[in-house]
Amino acid sequence: MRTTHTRRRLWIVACLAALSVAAGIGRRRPIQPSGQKAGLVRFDVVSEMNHDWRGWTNLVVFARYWVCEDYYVVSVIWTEFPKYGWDMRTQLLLSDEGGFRMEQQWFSYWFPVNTTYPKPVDERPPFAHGGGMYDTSEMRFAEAQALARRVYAADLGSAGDGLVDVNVQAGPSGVARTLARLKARIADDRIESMELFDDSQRLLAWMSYEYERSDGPPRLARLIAELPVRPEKLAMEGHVTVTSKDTTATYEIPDVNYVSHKGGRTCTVTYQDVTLGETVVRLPVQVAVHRTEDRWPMRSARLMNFQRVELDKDGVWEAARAFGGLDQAYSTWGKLVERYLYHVPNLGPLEVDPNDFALVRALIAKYPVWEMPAPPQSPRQTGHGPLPKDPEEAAKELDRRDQIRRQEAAQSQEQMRKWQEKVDRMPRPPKRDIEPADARRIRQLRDHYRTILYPWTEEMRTGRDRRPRTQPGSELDEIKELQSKLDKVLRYHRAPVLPEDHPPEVSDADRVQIAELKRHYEKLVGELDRGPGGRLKALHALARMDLIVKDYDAFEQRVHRYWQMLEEAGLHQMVMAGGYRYIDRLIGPGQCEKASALLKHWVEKSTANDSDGVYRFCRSIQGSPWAKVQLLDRFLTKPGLSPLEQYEGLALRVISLDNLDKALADREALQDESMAAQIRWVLTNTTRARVAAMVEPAVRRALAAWEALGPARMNEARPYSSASMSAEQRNALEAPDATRLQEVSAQLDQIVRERSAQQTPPAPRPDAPRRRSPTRR
Amino acid sequence: MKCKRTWIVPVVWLAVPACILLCFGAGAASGPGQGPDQGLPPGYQRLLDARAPGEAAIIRRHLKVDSQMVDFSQHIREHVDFLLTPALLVQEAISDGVILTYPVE
Repeated sequence: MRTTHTRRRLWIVACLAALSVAAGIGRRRPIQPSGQKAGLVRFDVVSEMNHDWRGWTNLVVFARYWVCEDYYVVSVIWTEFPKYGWDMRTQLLLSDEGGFRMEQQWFSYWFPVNTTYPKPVDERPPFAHGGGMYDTSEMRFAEAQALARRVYAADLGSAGDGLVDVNVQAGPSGVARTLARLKARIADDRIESMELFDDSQRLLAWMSYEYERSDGPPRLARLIAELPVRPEKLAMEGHVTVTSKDTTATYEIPDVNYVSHKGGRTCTVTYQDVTLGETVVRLPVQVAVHRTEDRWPMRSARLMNFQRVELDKDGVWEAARAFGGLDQAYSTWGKLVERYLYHVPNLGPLEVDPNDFALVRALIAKYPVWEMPAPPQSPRQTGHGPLPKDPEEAAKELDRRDQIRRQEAAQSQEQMRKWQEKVDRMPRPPKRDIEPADARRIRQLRDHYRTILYPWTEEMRTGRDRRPRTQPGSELDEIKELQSKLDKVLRYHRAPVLPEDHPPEVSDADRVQIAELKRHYEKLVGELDRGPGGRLKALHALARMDLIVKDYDAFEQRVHRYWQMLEEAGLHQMVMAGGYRYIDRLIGPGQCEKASALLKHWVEKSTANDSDGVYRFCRSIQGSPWAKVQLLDRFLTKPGLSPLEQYEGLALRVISLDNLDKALADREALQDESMAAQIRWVLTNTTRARVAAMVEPAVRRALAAWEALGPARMNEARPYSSASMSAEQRNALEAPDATRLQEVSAQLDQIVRERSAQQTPPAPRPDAPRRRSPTRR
Repeated sequence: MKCKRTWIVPVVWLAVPACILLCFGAGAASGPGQGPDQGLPPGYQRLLDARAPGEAAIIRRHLKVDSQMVDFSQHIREHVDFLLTPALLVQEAISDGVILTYPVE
């Protein structure tokens, strides 16, 4: 009996001990998902950015990262395709507690070299890049915002399971925080979802966490963050002056209240176990960002080749420079490319005194150009005072104002119509061949005036002088006018190609250098350690050297290798966008046969993309209309396209055919050397008559597809363009942005109207009986 | 010639709905309650309702802001800032006491 009691006591003690140990472990185990110290980690990233913009469709950035708890370094080895969009080649970044260091050697004439922005950084200024390129040095603000929103386990305190709603305190080391409050749903020591708010209780982000199903500790599988539309100020510089009868007043223009992240963002991060030495760490391996409202894929990143490295900060910086920085070989290659492929003609010393304006004007007068008269001023809207307070009176007043507005609009339209008729009737001076000596003088003067009007000093380059580059002033007005006139002469008349426009013959010394560089880059193309970015960079260098020495067979082989590398890296959109640019390089030197052979491969490979990728390319300014027609012909045979996808493809085909038909019919186009080469290439594959005959059935097919859409033709496929409205019209109407499909429909509508106007008899008089419109049902 | 006539008819027939649709589009673009017969576009209404010449001048200047160009530049900014995202994500994952979130870009 005694033994039994003892055993029972022992058993109870053992159980209590086990429970207390378990509880202790439970308390010690950090809440998930949270970080785990792992030293200095090196990894490679391939980031792909999409654009729904007509300039370019996508861009891929290849970079190597070194990251630890206290700092990180980024080294961009390559941007595909270079020279399109923003190009980050050789960009280096180091961010630590003390500052944000940036270096950009390839674009050193533009970006500050070796600049360190001290921390803490100032507050982000109102957005001032409407239409301009975003200054990459502003990345420091993005980092500051991320750190100010970082969440620490300490913020959650000793919260148990359930809903936690806490106001957060200052960050570690007193870091300024925009995060003021967080709400988290916790179960079994792991966060299931979390909402972050600023001090105005505005939602900053909402996150949900998905964990792998396993018996062990919770392992994060995916993090999904919803980022809402955010308010943002747009910088408005300057002031307005209002002059009335006897007073003049000046008003500062306040910044505009705007938003960013239109449509919201859904960001998905995938995590996996990664072995670093002897430790297994849960790390992000993939990031995908979609526009929330339509799930459009905006950008993605793949993180790979994780390694733990033992280097100090200086060692990391040197490794980063060696990886992506500008080396001697690339610098030499760049000079050769500039000399032979991007040759800038040396027009010699000025032959005409640029200060002798009378002489310059005489030179301009020798080649009269047609000047379009200024369009009539739209009548100023009649000013109105505030509305009467009485609602009935106010309604009457609104009616009256509306009538005035309509009268003014009708008057304005009539003026515009008369002006257009006058412009159409105006005689144009005959186009002449500019004499070579005059062409040289005109170009010399134009370039000289440009340097005065748009100076680019060392202070501007290094960012010490941030004044606007154009300096208006009465003394410059005449130069501006002359420069514009010289430009018009060159555009209106036929300017000859001067001997100095041709690149020089490749010298023997440069041939030797090219052979050496080719050996160097052939080796690098095969080096896997430099990642796909390093290999693509080497291949690009080789292909450009093939063009310099006119070895088009080798060039053709490089293009096949380029496609292979991109396909291996899963970059199918770049196969299309970048691949076409390689084909384009063969058209200029007249290698039509090779270009056509590559085009066939390109079409086959490009159809691996989805409709979004193909249609964005076909709507962009990239690629010739002929190539787009070939691509669409092939793509539209793909099974499984929805009626809307079919219609959009057919409509884009009409747009490309219409562009092609117009280009082939335009004799003026032949004056442009690159356009003439494109036309010659197209005409090796087809004839003008054949293209012209293709348009009509293409329009019919597209319109039939539109008709067959049913209600969608009034919604998703409604012909509506916001791009063709002026900024003021859009703002005044508060017009919603048109979708790509709506813009495409509007373009199709325009083509139908243009073509039917050319072929049908004059429209019936307004008093003649009209046929009822089939859409007014 | 016969072929040409059959082409013209459907084009005219379909051009009319296309034009009408464009008008519908523009009408819809003016926003709820702002059809062509329902008063001025909201932006011009604000201009008319301005209480002082200075206010009107500022509204007029704000109406000229090209939102499409702003959207484009903001889009570029997001893409450029995305260069930092992998670094910040990994930094959170290898820092003790930090909860994994998505950094702003």
